[in-house]
Amino acid sequence: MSDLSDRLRRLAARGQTRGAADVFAAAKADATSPAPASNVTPLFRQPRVLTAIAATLVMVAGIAGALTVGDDDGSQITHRQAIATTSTSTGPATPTTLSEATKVYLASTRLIPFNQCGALSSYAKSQALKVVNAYGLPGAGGMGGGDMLVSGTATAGRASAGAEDSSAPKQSVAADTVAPAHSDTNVQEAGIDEPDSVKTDGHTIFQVANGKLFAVSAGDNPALIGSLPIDGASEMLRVADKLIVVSPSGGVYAADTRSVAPGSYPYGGGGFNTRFTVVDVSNPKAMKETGHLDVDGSYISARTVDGVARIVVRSAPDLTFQYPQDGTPEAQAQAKSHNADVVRSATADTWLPHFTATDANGHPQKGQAFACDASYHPPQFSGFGMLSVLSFNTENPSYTRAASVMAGGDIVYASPTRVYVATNSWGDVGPDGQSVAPTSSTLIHAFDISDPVQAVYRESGRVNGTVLNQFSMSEYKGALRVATTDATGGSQSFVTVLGDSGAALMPVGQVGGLGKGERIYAVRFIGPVGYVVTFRQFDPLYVVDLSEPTKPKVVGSLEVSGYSAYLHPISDGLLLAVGAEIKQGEPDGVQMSLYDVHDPASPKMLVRKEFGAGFSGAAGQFDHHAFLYWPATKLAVVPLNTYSYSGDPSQSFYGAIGVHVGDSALDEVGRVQPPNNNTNNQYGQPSVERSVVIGDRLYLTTYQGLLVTRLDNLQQTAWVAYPVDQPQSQPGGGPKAVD
Amino acid sequence: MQAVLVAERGAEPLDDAGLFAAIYPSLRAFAAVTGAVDVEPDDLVQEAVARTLRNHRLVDLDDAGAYLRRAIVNLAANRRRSMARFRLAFARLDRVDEAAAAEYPSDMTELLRLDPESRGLLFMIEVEGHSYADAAEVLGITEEAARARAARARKRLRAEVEGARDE
Repeated sequence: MSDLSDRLRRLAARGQTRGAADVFAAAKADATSPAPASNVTPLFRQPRVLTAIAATLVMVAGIAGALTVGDDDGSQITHRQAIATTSTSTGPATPTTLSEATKVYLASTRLIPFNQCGALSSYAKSQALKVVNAYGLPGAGGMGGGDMLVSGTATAGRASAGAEDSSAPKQSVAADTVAPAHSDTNVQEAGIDEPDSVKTDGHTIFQVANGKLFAVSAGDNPALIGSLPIDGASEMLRVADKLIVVSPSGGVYAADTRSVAPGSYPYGGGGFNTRFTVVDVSNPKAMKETGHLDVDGSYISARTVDGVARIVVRSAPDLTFQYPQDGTPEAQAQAKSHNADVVRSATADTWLPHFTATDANGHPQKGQAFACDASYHPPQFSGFGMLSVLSFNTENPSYTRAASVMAGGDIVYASPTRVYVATNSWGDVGPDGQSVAPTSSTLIHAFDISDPVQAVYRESGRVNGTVLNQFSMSEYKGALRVATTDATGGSQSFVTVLGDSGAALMPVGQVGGLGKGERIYAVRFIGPVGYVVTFRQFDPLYVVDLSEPTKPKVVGSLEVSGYSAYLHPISDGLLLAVGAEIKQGEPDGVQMSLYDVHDPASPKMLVRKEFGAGFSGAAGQFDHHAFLYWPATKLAVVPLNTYSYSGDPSQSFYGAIGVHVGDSALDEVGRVQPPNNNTNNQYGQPSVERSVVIGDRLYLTTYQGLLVTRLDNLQQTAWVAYPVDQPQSQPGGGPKAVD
Repeated sequence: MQAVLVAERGAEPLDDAGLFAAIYPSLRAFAAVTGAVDVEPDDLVQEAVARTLRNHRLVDLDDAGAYLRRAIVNLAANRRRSMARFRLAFARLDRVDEAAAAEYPSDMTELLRLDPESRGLLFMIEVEGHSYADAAEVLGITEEAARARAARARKRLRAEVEGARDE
């Protein structure tokens, strides 16, 4: 052992030295950050996990024991691949040997906890040093997320339906009066609120437009009763008598005070951050801000479940790189060397986002809602950014806590107990050193939101293909159904059922072969049935029976021309679709179709109506929040904008259309166009963005004001104009990641 | 040990930063030996200091160097334990550490397989020249336990070396 001390000395000299001053400063910063909440338990400090894996994999074996894939004929399940335990035991306490396939699946999906900041920093730096180049790090276009090249599936047709009963009339109880029946945001899951540009309690309509929050009283004499300036306001969540107003990236830069030297470039563009402003609206005439939270990173989406707002943001590391001064090899080498040094000098603080919470008195408090021991990374590297699920504390924003994953991701779905985030793994870095190829599989990470203080990462699953939007995921009786399109090797779509094993979201059933050569345009899961619309030239509507999670199967399909991009359940057995006709290969006009799906094996189109011709746009095709269905009068309202190819303004229409949805007919009730108060027409004719029902009135929002009509025929009864200064967002809201 | 580490402080430590600067080189070396090879030593030191600063000023500690070394060992051991449990469930992840270890010369492999406490103990004894009593104090164990642990570690290294020769 004479060389033992030599080996120890060599080991002691490993690594890059940052120097005492740097290490101490970083440690001091870490120490002054809020300590992780006491109830935040890193994954593997939970003794239940390993026993749960053994126990629940037995469960998975029991309910499934098979991963099924489609065959050449499409929808039939043809072969099975065992993916469960090799044990034949049925008792949950019996030690279980995991099959190789299960181990591989778990190892390829399960997020790995960092546990400590050193591990986070080391992991991030080791990954970064592999790919750092003369221009910094790749993937900056996707905020470090690695999803910027995922094209085709997420760019068009971010459609889909409303919740099964989200449009059911609500009765709000105000302090002294009962509000009339009113609609609410058209959400995917009943009881889970989604952010939108308009909210109402049945007495007052709150809308964000032009950098302001407006309050308009509902009733016979609607009037603007309050406004509050909020820079960059795009959408909001309602939590009791408070609104959380979101000002996404580009709105404010308060938290980001980095200074950047000439010739240097912050990774991901820098300056991305999001402000969440809490507004007390208990008195709409005197709305007041009670605090705000500035968070590094761009806003992805949010949900409110059981009165707690969960917000998903994506942030880039705080790294500032240099580009080569010229094209010479020397300049390239110098820049690469400099950029590598930048990476080496990074600390955990560099990678974790920061926040500044400001109270009602304007006192800021900086810190980290993001703790190393509530941070994870996927087994397969998925980007340099951090994806964080924040549990927003409206009473004291500084108490906001986050769970973070070092990955990209931009599609969020929430059930009553979980938030799911879909993300793509990184593929190869392109020859330019900046772009990253997408992979053909999607990782889905589940965060438990039963704790109001903190979301906790639970498990992950992997499906082949990519998801379209939030409606591509749906939880039902503990299983997550996921619809994906795999564009590799001949495009086809799948519906996969992931079972909750406690250790991973295990695939327990899958049906494939949907829409070969096509991609998914719309998805809707309603109870044990999935409806999938794929499209290339025709619009096949597939009905997928998911009543047996282990044996999903296509039980019916229907092909019609054009495509549907939005599916809304009207009643048991009736499905309303909004989409477009296709003429000469281009979308032409807006169409609504009513489908009879009483018999899943034989879906029928009852009626189709076209509204408008030429180049048309219906916001309902792209944002389900723009669609309204009011069951009491069977009224569907959709924003409708049509533009004449000839440029003739008389043939253009900017407004909304109301359609009565009968048992087998679609009848236009009326259409309405907001006035254009924009005298110099600088910002164009206002379009209808959203519609809300309160009592017997329909309220339609535009960026110039609120249009009020009768509910039965859409005849205008009032127009409440907003003071227009400098519109910051065009109709449809401000910049926002595709969800 | 106490005397050695107190001496590292210098005569008149003015503040935490100054005290840390004095003991940083030895802490860093200690972290490099005890920490996993995929963790930067400075990050481990930073983590130990950050956790300490949440509750104490360094200058208020009787022996900041010893305290921080104990914290470093604990952090390294905790991570090793959690990763070991993790590997039990996810065998594929063995490749992570194997890949990291493979970047080091083969004669390091056996050493890296020792637990952090044993590595730290051997480092203090073999390289820094501390007594078993001082090293035991840092690790929070008895001198007898320190002697026994060092003996076991040496025996294990020897056995692995000889085993490798036999193959």
